[in-house]
Amino acid sequence: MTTVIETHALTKYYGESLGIIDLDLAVEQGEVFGFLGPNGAGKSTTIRTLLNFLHPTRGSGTVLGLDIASGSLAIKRRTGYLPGDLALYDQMTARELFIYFANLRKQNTTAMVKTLADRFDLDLDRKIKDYSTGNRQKVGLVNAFMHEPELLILDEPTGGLDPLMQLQFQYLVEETKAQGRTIFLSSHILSEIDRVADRVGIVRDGRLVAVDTLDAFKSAAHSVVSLRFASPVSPEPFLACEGVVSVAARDAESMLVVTVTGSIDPVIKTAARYEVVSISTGSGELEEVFLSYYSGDVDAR
Amino acid sequence: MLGSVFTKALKDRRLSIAGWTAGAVVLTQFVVAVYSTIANSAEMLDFIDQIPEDMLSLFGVDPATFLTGAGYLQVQLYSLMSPILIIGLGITAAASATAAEEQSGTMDMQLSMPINRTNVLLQKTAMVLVSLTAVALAIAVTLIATNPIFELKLSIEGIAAANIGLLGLGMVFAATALVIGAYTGTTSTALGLTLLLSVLGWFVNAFSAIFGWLEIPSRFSPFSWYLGGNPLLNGGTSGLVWLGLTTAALVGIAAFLFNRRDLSTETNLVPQIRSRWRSTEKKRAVTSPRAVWLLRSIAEKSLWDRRRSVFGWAGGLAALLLATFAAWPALSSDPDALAGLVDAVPRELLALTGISDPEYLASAAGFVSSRTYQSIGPVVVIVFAIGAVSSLIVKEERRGVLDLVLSNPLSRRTALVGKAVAIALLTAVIAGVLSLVGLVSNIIWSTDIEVVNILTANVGLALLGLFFGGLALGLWSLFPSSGSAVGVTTGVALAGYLLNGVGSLVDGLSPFRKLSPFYWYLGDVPPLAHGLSVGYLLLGAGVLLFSVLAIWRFDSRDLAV
Repeated sequence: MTTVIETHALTKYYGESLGIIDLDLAVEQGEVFGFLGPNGAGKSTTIRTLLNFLHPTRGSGTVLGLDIASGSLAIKRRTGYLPGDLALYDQMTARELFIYFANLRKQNTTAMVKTLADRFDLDLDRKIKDYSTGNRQKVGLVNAFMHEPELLILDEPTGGLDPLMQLQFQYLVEETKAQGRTIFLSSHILSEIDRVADRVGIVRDGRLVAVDTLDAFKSAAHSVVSLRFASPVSPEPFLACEGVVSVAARDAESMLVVTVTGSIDPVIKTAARYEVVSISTGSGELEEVFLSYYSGDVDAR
Repeated sequence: MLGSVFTKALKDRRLSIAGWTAGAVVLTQFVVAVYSTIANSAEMLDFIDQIPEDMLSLFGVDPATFLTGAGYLQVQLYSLMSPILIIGLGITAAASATAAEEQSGTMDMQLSMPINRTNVLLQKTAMVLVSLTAVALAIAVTLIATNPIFELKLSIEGIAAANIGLLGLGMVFAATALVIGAYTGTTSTALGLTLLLSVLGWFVNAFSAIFGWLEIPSRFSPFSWYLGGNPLLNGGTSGLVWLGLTTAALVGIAAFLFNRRDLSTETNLVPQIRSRWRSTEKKRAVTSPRAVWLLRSIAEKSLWDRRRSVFGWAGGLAALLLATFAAWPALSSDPDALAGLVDAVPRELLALTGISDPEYLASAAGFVSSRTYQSIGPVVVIVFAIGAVSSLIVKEERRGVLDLVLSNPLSRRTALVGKAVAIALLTAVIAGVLSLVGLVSNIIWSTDIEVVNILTANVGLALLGLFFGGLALGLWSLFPSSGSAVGVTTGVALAGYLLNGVGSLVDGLSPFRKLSPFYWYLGDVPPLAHGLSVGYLLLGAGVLLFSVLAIWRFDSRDLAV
């Protein structure tokens, strides 16, 4: 597997406030990489540095094997970009904008624009100033995808999109990934990348504080197993299980709520010794794992 | 200052109010100062005697009272200048009161607070009233202060009545703008229509003395309520009551209309009005794509963006040039008129407008130059070039559109060169249109100006514009985020203009005059009276230098957010 985005100690001081510090990033080909962090953490600064809009204070980076400064033109030829703070030519229609940008790319995108516009239900022949926020976002998305680039850099892509269009976007990402293309997706909300990302990097105060697969983050989250028994059961054997954080007894110990980190297998095995009436598991704690990174409760690894 | 809609509105417009008030004080002092020079002057009286009575009445001049302080001020200050001032402030403030907030979408936020629309509208009206009162009060106070100094012999009652009338006049038109703004939700409609109505009102009143049939309609003009009975001389009139009642009625109508209308949003501007005015409500669909042949490159797209602007400016200048040429035959056949051209205006005043040698005015080349190439032309091309740099480059970066453009596979150099070439071409279009009009007019009216000079004068004009456009570009490349490029360049242009003008008058300054780009362009000989000059080369070198600097710097710096 080849690395599509790679940075070494990439640092950008931005005026007086910090931009990004010693960012070491590696995004592999064919993966959907979620770049997650609160507002002002340095997500957009990273992206704009990758695209040579900002010159790094120190450190280096490559995109598609090309240096971000010297190879910028070739990089942009093969990359689709959706800015986080999308600004468009208000007096043009969407169709005119796509024709213009296709010309600047020296590529014919007419067929792809039509496909994407149909997909996102976008009227191409109105002036952009007359579009709603959601429609403007669609224009940005079509522009990023229309030349079928190898790499997509999308800064908060689903802002303003309705749930139907978010789903459409999710399908588009999945198809793109299936074609072996790479997507770098930045967001400040987990739900935007929860369903699509393979790996997630969490950035806070300009530093990358954690990178792991989404599954790993999920398993790091607490699972909650609720067990209802035919007769009261002592919590003791469950407390002895590996990974159990706490056991709460309810209804005179005929129901136990077990909180587990990692695998819930030992708990299930233990429960099997008794007569189980019902069982339910939940892992709604993923959001909390990310929040703990955001707020700085977890130290950088 | 943020305690209520009223105080917030006042705070938002504090600079504008301060500016208009200062303007009112300066205007009043100027008019009063001029009075001191013409008061009791026999020549002035003779002069007035010579002018036909109809013409005088157009400006409200009554020969019997004109040379008294009150009569003079009524004409010079109250019949045209201060109405322009107060109506100008009134309608801009009122048009933006509700409509501007609707257009920007902040009205939605405002009205989501527990406050009803009538309340918002009334508080905004109060803001307008306070603004206009400031101006009227400033004029009144200035007059009261200068009254004894210049022996104007004004009565306090007269000053009060005239300024209350002025306030009432401003409020009537402000309230009109309020009504239109509240009904349509668009600032430009409110401004345009009210402006039209006020001009109409002025004309009807002014011409009623000449045309009898205007007598009846003129009674409905707020100007007749305001000016009738000469309030400065005679004190309060019934017209004041009409002004007050009309204002109140209009504000009431505005409140009524504002309450029953759907608020417009950013994307959907006042649908019910559109459907009322157009038989079939169409979406704002355009025949898209338009002008595909101009969407091929950055340069061509930039031409497309500025097409309206360039045709507007070029058309205006061409019309001026045409009119100047057309006026020449009549002038040149009348020696008195020619001598008048040279002597009528003080040399100092001519020098300030860049005409350092008035003798040339008696020649076709000098006369045509003076109107198009020495005064209006330079201003137009400079405003055009700086404006193009601002909208095509500076604003695109600040808004973030440049991010999107540069995410395409093209270097910053390519993008900037494309835009710079477009600006140069557009300026060349203006110069080209003027050249063509000049060449043709030269033949039609047999002005015998050298063909080469017509061409080089336009080259010089274009280079002057591009020089300042280039300066703006250079400053922008060095200081991208401050947004000062356009402002500083405008300031430098103004300073250069003054330096050239004043430099030709003040001996001590004359060496520095050679530093002014205006001197390089204008020199001491009108542009149409000479061919290529060293000054043009300097301007060209400057354009090149600024462009290279901008391209080099833009390549190596960060894009602003």
